[in-house]
Amino acid sequence: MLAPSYQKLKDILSKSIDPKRILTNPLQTLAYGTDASFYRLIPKIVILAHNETEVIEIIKQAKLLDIALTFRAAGTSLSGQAITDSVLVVATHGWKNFELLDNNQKIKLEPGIVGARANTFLAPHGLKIGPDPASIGAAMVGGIVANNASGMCCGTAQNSYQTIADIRIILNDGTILDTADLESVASFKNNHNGLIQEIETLRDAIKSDEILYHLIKNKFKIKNTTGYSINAFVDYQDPIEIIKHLMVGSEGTLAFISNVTFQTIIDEKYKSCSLLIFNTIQDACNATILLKSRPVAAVELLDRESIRSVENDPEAPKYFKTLPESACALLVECRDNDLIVLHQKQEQIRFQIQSIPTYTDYEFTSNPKQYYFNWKARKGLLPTVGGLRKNGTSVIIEDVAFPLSQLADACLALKNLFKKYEYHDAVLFGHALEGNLHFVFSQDFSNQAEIDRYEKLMSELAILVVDRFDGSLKAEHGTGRNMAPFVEKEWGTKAYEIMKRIKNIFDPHNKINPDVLINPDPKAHLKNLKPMPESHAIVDKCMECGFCEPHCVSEGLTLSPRQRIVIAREISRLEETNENPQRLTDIRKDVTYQLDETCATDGLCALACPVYIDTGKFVKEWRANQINASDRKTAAYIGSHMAGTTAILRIGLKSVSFFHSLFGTKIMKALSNGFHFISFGKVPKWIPEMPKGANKINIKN
Amino acid sequence: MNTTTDLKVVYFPSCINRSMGKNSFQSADDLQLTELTHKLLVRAGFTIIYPKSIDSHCCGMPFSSKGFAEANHTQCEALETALLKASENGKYPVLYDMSPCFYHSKEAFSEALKIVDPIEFMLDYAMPNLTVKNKKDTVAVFPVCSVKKIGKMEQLLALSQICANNVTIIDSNCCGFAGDRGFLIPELNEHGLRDLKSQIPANCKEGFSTSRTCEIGLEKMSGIDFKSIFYLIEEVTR
Ligand SMILES: Cc1cc2nc3c(=O)[nH]c(=O)nc-3n(C[C@H](O)[C@H](O)[C@H](O)COP(=O)(O)OP(=O)(O)OC[C@H]3O[C@@H](n4cnc5c(N)ncnc54)[C@H](O)[C@@H]3O)c2cc1C
Ligand code: SF4
Repeated sequence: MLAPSYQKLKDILSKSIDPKRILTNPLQTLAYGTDASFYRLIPKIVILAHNETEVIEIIKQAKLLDIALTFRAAGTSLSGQAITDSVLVVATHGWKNFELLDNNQKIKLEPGIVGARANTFLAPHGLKIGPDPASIGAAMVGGIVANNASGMCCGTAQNSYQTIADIRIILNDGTILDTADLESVASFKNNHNGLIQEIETLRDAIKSDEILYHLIKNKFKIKNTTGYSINAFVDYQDPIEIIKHLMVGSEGTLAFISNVTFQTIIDEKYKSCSLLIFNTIQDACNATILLKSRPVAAVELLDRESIRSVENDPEAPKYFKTLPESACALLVECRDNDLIVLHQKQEQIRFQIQSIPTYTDYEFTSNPKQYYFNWKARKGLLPTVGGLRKNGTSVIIEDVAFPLSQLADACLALKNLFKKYEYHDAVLFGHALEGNLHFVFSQDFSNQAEIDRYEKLMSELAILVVDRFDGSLKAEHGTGRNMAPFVEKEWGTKAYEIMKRIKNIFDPHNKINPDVLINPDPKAHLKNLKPMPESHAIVDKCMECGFCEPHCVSEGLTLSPRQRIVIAREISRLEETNENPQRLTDIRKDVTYQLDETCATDGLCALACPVYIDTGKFVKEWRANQINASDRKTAAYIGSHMAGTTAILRIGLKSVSFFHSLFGTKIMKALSNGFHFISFGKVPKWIPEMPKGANKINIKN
Repeated sequence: MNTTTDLKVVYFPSCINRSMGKNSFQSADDLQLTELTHKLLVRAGFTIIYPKSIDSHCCGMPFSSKGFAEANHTQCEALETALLKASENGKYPVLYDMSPCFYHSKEAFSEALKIVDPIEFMLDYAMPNLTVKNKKDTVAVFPVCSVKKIGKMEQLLALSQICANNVTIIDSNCCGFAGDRGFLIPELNEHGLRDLKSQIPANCKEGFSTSRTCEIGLEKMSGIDFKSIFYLIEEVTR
């Protein structure tokens, strides 16, 4: 039963939005409510919004009823910013339009376009978009911009903040601001004079406060997604420019993004990389510092544990296994459109770091096999930890950044910290050039002792990163619920007050993605933790990252592979705990159609899955469990009488096509729908495209 | 050039192609796929060996995808035995006429057998012995799931480009027809191919793939003729 105000919202919206897209049943709200983070909230209503008109209506009606909204793109967020226990507005179906502008110098994208897809539009022109998160194959423009997501090559120079040209947003009162449209800007300035003035007041306050001004400048020299992008006030004077850039990294807490125009980036034709092994992590970090001023496209750090995880790959060099414990690798990439310049760049790099000894000689390679292996080693780190972890635990990715000069010390300090709290499977890697390090480890949240251990780790991590090294607690992945309690610690009271005012300017009643980014609860990061119950061996390693979703044929009709796993897990959990039999019954009611019948079991999901899960295989096993003995006998019978079966099919199809020519398409369709219905879906529906029966093969060997 | 006696191939026509005949676009004098394949193989100089009691065999996938694990297993084993025998323990390649069946067998069979998917067979074994005489102008090609899974997208494009000047590769996930699911749950196919029509150029009247059931779904959602890529090859090398 929905609470009255939610019921009312549902009723009202059902008049203008197809009720099939307003989901309230427990299976669907859980399925759509899940993101890649280790937090879990279940929305009361999920709305699959298809266009701006619908979003405006949702925003207006929710405002009247004082109901909170959370926007969602692909749900690959890691910090708990794409979940809610109120209303989730999913903008992924529809929202696929794009437009190349200004002779391909710009591309306008709707929020439901997957990042990699945007790049396929640009590839024929030798171009790409700036932001390049590792999740680009699943993450969508809305989420990429709202999180200011970045990756290996874009650094702080080509992220969404730097490459955004224009944005179109819907504010909490349903107004549209389109920064590309002069009329829209003019009318916005007219009608929202108060908002503009407040932005200007904040800007002037920051610009006249020298300490604050420099704090902001400094903190954004390295990657930083903790809190709002208040560098907008430092970098820009025009309030519209400020608003545009504030939206980047706002994590859906200020407005709905309905399209974004990016400046496009040249995607260099020639690429080469080299895996350099250093004797120590200090050497690797020092080399990184020297490379900062050189023409490198990426410098990725992989610690000893990271290398260990690829040692057994048949293509891995033999010496990997004998590397000293102190060793550390840098994956250095350079790119150019001119092959000669590419080689010059390689030489410059070699020259630049010649003072630092490497463990072995190194060569740059463009050979697809070696090139691919090097990057596979880097990209395979998540699956390794993800695949090795104990069932029932979550994969946690910490995402911190340090000033480059401190990187070596910070690495060691981090390693000690993880040792201290006995996170022995922790792997350290990251975008060294940007001072950005990721720590991947597994975490059990099923008992208090483990939660306490995590709490201690986090509070000490905050001290280490902020007090000791002046770094950022979230470099790429966004603040979310995970770091919201630490924003004030990282930024200090003054800057934090400004952030609270920003939230208040755009969302005075705190109804747009509340508790994300700004959250007064100091323990918010320890609440609403996601259970990871064991369910079935094939899917237990799932991290709920969502990488499989764009590859699934039933995604959007019923469920994606991730959602199937989420539902299977919840069923296992409810069976195990007997916590809520009614909920179990409700979920089971829809599960056959949603999870089983509409899965094509094609296994394409496994191609994208970092831990190689084939959800199709899982569904086949699920089916096997549902089959009763008599059905199994039938299968065995059909199997052992294959010749007869194909004959029946042959003749059956022939007679069907005979009837078709007799009755015509319309009647046949009606007849077969009737059969389909009375046989509970077991008799195939006849469609005009159904082939005629085949002639028996005449074997003449 | 090999002599004819060298060119032996075991042809395993899948149960689907053994039971389903021509589609609604095909005229009376068109050949059904099994007959067409036979003709094409002979043209390429192959001697064809059919497995014994062919009508009793199936790769097992229809059972597997319905969750009938045991029936799948029995079918798989029986087919492997028959193919080993027909190929004289792997001496001759075994041609599959549907990618999904190939994929299913590949996962289950031991190494000894040299089973070959329709794309690789045509590209590497048959085309070198055939001459393209009348290249088509425009065709659409759909890489079915198994083609994506075995990483044969580029080969499929290459093969199609030998036969036609303009090739549109359909960009979508699985077609959602999924064996008989397209008959039982038609909305899955409709959802999976909702962007199909818009991808097919106006002057394109023919589409090709390597899975019979997918072709039914593709035909239904595109309104154009979709059939095995063997038809394309047969026509342009005639
Ligand atoms: C395995 C893995 C690897 C990752 N690697 C990286 C990486 O290398 N770099 C990196 O930066 N991130 C990475 N991420 C994190 C994540 O993929 C990115 O933050 C991504 O940009 C999120 O995009 P999304 O489409 O999934 O957004 P969602 O998770 O759906 O949403 C993200 C945020 O954007 C808001 N939002 C979404 N759509 C809109 C809209 N239309 N209007 C307003 N607000 C909106 C949401 O409210 C939410 O706060 C990784 C994640 C995983 C699981
Ligand atoms: S099945 Fe794989 S790709 Fe899909 S959510 Fe789980 S871990 Fe990610």
